[in-house]
Amino acid sequence: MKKKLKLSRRSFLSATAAASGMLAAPSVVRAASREIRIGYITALSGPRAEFGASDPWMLEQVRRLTENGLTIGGNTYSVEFLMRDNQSNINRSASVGQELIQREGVDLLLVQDLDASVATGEMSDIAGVPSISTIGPWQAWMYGRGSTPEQGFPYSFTFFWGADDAMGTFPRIWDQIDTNRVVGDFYFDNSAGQAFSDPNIGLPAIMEKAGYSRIDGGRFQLETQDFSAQVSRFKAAEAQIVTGFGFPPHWSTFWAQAGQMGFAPEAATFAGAFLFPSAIDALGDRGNGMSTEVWWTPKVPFHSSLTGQSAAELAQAYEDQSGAQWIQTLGYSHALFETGLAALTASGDPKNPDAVRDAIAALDIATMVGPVNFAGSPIRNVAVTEVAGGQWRKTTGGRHEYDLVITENALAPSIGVEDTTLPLSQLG
Amino acid sequence: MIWFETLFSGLTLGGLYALFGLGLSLIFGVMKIANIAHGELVIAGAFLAFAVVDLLPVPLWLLLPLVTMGMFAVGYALQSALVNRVLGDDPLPPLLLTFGISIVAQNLLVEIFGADNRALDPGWLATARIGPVWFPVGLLPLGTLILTVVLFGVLHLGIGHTRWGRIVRATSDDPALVGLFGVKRRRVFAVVMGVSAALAALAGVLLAMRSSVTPFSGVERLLIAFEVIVIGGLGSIWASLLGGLALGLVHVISFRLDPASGLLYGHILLLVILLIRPEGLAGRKVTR
Repeated sequence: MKKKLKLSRRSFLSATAAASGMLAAPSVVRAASREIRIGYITALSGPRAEFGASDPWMLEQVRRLTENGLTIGGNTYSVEFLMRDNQSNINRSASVGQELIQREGVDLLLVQDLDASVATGEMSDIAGVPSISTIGPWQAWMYGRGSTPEQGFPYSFTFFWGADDAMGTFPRIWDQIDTNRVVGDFYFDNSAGQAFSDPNIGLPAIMEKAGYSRIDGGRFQLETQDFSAQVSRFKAAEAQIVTGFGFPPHWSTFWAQAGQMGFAPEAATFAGAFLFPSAIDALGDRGNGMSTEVWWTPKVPFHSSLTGQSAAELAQAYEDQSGAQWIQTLGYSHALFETGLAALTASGDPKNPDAVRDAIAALDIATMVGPVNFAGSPIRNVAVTEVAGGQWRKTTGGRHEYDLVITENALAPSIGVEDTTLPLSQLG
Repeated sequence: MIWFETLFSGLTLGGLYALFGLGLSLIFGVMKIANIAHGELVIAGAFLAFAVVDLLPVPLWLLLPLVTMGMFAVGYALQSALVNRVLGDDPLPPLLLTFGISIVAQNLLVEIFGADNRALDPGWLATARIGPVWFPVGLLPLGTLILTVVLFGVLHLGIGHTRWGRIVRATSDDPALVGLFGVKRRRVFAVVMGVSAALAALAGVLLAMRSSVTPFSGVERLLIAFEVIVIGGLGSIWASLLGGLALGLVHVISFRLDPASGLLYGHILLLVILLIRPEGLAGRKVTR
């Protein structure tokens, strides 16, 4: 006798209803299990896509490290990462943040983008879900959200250098070369650019204090295609140093026009535009000698608290497996995972947001980007990291076309200085 | 003196703008559709040039025709495989289709080339300058302007004085009627899209030599291209050149007086033109 599997309309309906009920409320069902859910927001597309270029690779490494789960307070938790692309867009950041916090019910939010960290910081404070962010001067993150170093925030944390620290490296770079101390500056007009160009606390004030006179090139908009006005103004005033802030396309347009109009300064130190090797490669031979603030290089003497890798080993692994050159965000996105996992482990109860929040606030660990110290920081919810100064130099048959040479380390004494800054006329 | 520099920068920037607008205006004139993917065609041209240079280091004089021919083929294929299917009385389907193409093209470029900033290194040409010491003129921007004017001239002759041009003009006037004379209008459209893509690609290569581009740079070029044809006006090829030069001059002069103004004064020019001369600087009145 054959027994038939009976599927009546009624039983089918009740089964599907139960199944779809499970699907509709994943956070409720999963909260009971021992699983930690970590949200990760980064820019994988849009104008800042280069900042997130190494993140899919990095996440793969961290997933492999945590595939057997984390043992916290005697319990083993499985770990799930949910990566979301904010498309370099603040509105999109808010919607993916909403999705991760409300629908996915993450236990911790890691944010590797300034725009996203401003948008999701508020959500994390309101929803009571701890978040850690990086890659954005802490002043923009804190003052932009209407708080102060004394006040802080309930659940959102960040670690990065300050705009004043980064700008402070510039005059120290110029002090190393012989110039007439006349500086031409121009800035991209966004929140970071406004902070950098602020006459009281930004680069103009820092330059004046260091004894440099300033030729104001103004602020420019994103779509600007022509910088001949700045070039002729700087040239007429015989400026020997050019500085400011902007993205690689801005600098390459400016620099080509400077060449065409016969303006040849001795130093070019431009925040934002020289972070990535690809931006220097895009300048061709004329990229030699560009100087910049340095967040992280493979030469920093730090090790990962997750893998024990040195900075050089991390960069090597990335280069071998991706075929691309190392980028400065590599160290920071690694450190973001380090701080996140360290806080979860230290909390004793990763499913309890208040325990995780307290663990972040008490954190003081050595990471891939150096010490990240929330516990001893005078600024609430902020751990200030080191920043150095460096100059891109053409290599003679190395692995890469250009290498970043550290030339200034006043705020990052553990990073060794490799050479003094050379004037552009000597580099040709 | 400084104003001579400004004037020169404005005209050379305007030349590039005009080239962005030329292909778009050609498409609009012949097919009556707004090609939203035009900015992506510009950027695709630049990336095709990067790909060619990565594979084998060809000199510039060979690179330009290679990229032009390659993008002609892309444009031709795009029109015959996709855009021709949705052409009709309703202007909405082609608009949506080209919008879709622009998104697909953007993501395809990211997938193939990554999100990096790329530029085309023109070698010694990058900073070469000619002219007297008191008024040095960059060879690259000057060359861009000259090439643009030459291309406008060639297209003018092509449309106005050749058999092909007569067919294109006839198709533009009445695409249904030309069929009676044995003209395959879909083929004409495909060739026109090819020419438009080729012009866009040239503009893209020149842009990549002047500045640097990412796969996401197309949108801004599309905006410029639209402004060029609205300011210049429709109906004549030279109107786009006039529109481009006017826009370039306004941009550079406003950058000089007020660096933070960005494209504001360009947009104001657009509004003023729309208010006082909706047919554009050199356009003819369209009554329909």
